[in-house]
Amino acid sequence: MSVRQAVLGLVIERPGYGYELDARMTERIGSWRHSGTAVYPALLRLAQDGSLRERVERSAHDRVVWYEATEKGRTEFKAWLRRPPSLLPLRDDLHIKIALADSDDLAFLIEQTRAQEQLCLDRLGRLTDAGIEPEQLMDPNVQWRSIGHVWLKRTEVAHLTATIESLQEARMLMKAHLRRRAR
Amino acid sequence: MSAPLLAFDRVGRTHRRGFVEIAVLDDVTFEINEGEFAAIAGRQASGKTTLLRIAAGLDAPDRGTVRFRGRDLFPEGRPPRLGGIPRSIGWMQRSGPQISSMRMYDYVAVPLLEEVSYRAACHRAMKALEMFGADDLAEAVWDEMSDAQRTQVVLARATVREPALLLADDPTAGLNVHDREILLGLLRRAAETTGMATLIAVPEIADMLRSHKVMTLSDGELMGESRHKLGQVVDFRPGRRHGSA
Repeated sequence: MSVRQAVLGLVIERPGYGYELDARMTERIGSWRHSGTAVYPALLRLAQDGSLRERVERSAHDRVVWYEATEKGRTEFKAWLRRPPSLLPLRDDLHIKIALADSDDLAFLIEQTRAQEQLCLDRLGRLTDAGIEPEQLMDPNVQWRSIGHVWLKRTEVAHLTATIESLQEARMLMKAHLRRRAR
Repeated sequence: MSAPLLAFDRVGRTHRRGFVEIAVLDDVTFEINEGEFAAIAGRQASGKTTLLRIAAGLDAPDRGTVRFRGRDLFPEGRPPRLGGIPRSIGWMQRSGPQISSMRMYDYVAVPLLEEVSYRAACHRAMKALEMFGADDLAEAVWDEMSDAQRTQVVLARATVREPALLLADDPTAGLNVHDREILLGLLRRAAETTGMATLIAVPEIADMLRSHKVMTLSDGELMGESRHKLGQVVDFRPGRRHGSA
């Protein structure tokens, strides 16, 4: 997971401070990041490496550290963006559990697939307005980033959909297996 | 909020084929409130059509209760009211008019004719067509309309009597992505502006994303907001379901 690059990308988009960047991260790519505190360490490391520049703004009762990208930071981000991808790993505990389980464990795993499907549905429920008007995608005045934002949401929907389907399939197979054994 | 408009409580339905019992619906529990647009996604043979038919009173459950406006749809020992959908439930019927030259405002107005004058019926038919963005189809005939237009018209017809609940089985069937999005948007708007509750069953999860409440149905099991609490381990007994009689 490249929290570092995500944070760098957000700062390049426009300078910001810790709290604001954390909020922007949640809004823009909230689904992707699990740890709620990853933004601050990433900012510190990026600043140490010289990819970001700190600018301290003091008022009567406050001290805010603003971050803006340096030339080094922009180069790093571009290089990361252009690096060819590798095949995405399928990395989920539940997959391994299901693949390696004993028949005795299946009843618990069936319940876990239910809980997982429920989590997916909860998330889908929050994404229900992710639809974009097709005309909007064709509009030449729309910034790529807003299209990319919508695309990311749609991708998440597709991912959740595929997950739900694979969970349902696993559950059906496990239930059928238990039924056959019960006879 | 007052009592839910439609409430399924631990509903089960089993089909028997010879000695084999197939659980079509198992322990299905959910609620739908006024003005709510709810969608159930399920593949073929997941039980979604049976669920909608039970909600319409066309098929009776073997177990559990179904309440519509607080009243039991199937009081004990009472057979299903075949062909007798309650007046305040709208059921989307795809078939189209039997007379091919019929204009769409007439077709949409027909369900009202036993209640109001022809003039009043046509007026309300136009309003229903407008609700589904099909007022320009009032003069059209069935054979010259696209699948998307036909869907808009049959939805107008299903809602012309201003039902409290609209049931639609696979309303997006045969539509392309663009038309699907538009239709789902229209359904949502109809629910929000009229207070009519809507329950649709769709084969694709992506088609339920415009709704207020998302649920999935798989192997007769319903998942969604009002189903399991997270982390709660539900007693699972192997062989409880498709057991032989």
